[in-house]
Amino acid sequence: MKDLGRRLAGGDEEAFNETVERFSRQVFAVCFRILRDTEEAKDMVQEVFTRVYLKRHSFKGHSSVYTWIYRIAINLCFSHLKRKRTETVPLDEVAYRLAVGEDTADSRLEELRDLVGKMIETLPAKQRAVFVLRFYEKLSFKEIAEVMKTSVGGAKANYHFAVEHLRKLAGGG
Amino acid sequence: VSTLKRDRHPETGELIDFVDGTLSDESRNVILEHLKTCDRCSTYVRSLEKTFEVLSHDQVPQVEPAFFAYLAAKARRSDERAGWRRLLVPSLAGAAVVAFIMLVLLMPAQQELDQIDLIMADMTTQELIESVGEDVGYETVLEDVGGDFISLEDYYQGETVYDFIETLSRAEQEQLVVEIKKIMGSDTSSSSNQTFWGC
Repeated sequence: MKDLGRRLAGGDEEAFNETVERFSRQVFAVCFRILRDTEEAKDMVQEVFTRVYLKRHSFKGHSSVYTWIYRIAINLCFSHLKRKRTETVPLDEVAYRLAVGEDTADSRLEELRDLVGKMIETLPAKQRAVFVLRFYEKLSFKEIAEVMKTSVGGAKANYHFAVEHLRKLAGGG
Repeated sequence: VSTLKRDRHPETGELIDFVDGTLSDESRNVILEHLKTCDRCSTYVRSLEKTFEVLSHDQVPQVEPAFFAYLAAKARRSDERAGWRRLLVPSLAGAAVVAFIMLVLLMPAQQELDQIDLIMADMTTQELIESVGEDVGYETVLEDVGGDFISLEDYYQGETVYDFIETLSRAEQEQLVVEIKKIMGSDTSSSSNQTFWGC
């Protein structure tokens, strides 16, 4: 991985192709889970890799390539969220809809996915990013701290706040 | 979590870490013992497990393979197209930048680029924002993704202003100097400066 970073910073075009190939799907997943919109996430992924290409010479190798790319993605998503007005679903409605019906029929699963998205959308941007990186991307808190430029304790605290908020939203009282 | 004690309820965060599976074996065993006799914490852990189960249903939509296949090429093209517009619409401003412009105007050509280092090398983007009183990011106008404001606070947080300059190629840096000279030389009225620098 360090070798990829060195080659990327050195202007190796093949290293850039490799970076895109290796990380673009993960970056799309992160962007989608933060923005909750497929087209916006695709636009964001393209912007992320445009920035990676533009800034590749300034990659200093203090962090791994993927935490550097995640940081670019998270920062661009934050900028985007600042400009975007999102409608949040009232907490009571989410809890009610989760409580109604326990079957796993396809329609129910589809509705569940929709609700999960709406639950995640209610999180403040920073908590949302930390939650996505930890819960879905399985990054360690140390890695999340690197991505978010915060402390390990700060990353953990944001994760705990997010989980507790989502638990209450899911009807956990 | 070495502070876990058998004689108290675990903290909320400790129970979350327990369900998350990030506790040490020792701490995990302490909590397991506690849960055997504590309805309150057991109920809380069950609600966490249910929440995690619900959240695990989130799914990322399928995207056509062609999108990823051409991503690298698109990124290169967007970079080329955006390069000039980034230079023409930067809103880096404030006293430091004005000083920079004045120096550029006064310095012999061969020393101009070196001055960028001298003036900006140690100034962080945050210091620039504070000294100017606003975020002086720059606008990108990419044909494929639409216009976008790249905020210094968000994107270059913790980095120096020089990090921004550094993202430009040598040719772009030289052209930036030419553009600054052109604008300052052809029209030095305040309205022109306001448009260019956005402040």
